[in-house]
Amino acid sequence: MEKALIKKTQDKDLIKGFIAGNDHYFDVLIQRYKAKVFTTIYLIVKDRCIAEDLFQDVMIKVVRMIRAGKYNEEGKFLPWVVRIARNLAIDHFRKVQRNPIQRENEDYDIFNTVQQAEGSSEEKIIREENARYIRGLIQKLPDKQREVLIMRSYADLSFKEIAAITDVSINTALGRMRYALLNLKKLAQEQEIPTGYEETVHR
Amino acid sequence: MKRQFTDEDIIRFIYEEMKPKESDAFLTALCSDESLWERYEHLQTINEDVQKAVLEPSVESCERVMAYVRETAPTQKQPTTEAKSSIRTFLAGKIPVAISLNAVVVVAFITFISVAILGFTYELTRGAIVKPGGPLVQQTDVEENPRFEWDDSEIDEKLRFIREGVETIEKEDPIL
Repeated sequence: MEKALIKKTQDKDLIKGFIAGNDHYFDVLIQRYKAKVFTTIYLIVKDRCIAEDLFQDVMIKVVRMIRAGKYNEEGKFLPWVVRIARNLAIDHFRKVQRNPIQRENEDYDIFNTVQQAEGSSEEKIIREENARYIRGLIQKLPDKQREVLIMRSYADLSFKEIAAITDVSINTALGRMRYALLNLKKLAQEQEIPTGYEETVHR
Repeated sequence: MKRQFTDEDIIRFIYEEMKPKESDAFLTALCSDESLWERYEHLQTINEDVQKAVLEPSVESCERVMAYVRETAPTQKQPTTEAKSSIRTFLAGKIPVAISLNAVVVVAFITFISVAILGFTYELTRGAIVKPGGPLVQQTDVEENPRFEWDDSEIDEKLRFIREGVETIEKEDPIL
């Protein structure tokens, strides 16, 4: 009953509760947004291990900033977290002074088996294969298109906000999104379509 | 005139960034324009696939974050650093003044009470104050104490003696 109520609680109320000393509320926020935040980071850095480290750094920074009273509750929580993630990812690139590691596949990653999904194990495997395949396609997009796609699809930023962050017009941001979606389809057609993805693409 | 919707318009519709009026017009066009429907379905399908491509962090990463949250949690609900600082500044300025003022008031009060008690006791012992409900202080009390005896005739006699002495000296030695 209480858990169900907490799940429906708004972000700003969870943050107030967390500031008041209820650590569990932050756990709820993590569970609510971890996938979108992590996917955003992963698609920027293109490396699972770095993404895991950055995810922790981002969340710890979020905790510190909330406790220091630097979170404006009028703003949206997820876009705020994603902005922090984006900045930390950029800092990471500056520190290592090299291009992000490109991984053609994610087979090396043991964490990929830890995916929450419903249905039979076969369905889970197919779903994860599809997701992995699409992530691979997204990583092949040109940087600017990928950036807009990530910010809109995972970070829940509006095109107006994306335009402001990337310093372009709204029409340019929309145009990049259009090309990103069309190029994804094009890339999927060019490559061999894995089992399962065929069902979702050619419905 | 029938409005032509672009792919960008379709994307704005998919991501719910159209104004209600524009959205209604788009839906109307969607029902009658087959070409628009095909473009919409195409973009929507890709978008749905993108939404499914989310990846979750490891359980360990989330646990580490929560461990940090618990380790660094304030023991009690405490004021923020800024609040603490402002309280300190406020108290630093006010406490000495408040203490000084209080001290002055207390010292003055104690002095006043002490003086009053001493005075009252002195007057009581001297007999100038009538004890409430008690008999009037008798004149005999004063007479019993030689310090309080005062005889004007005796003084007058002494003064007279002095004056006579002075006159005698002046007569004998006019220079003085």
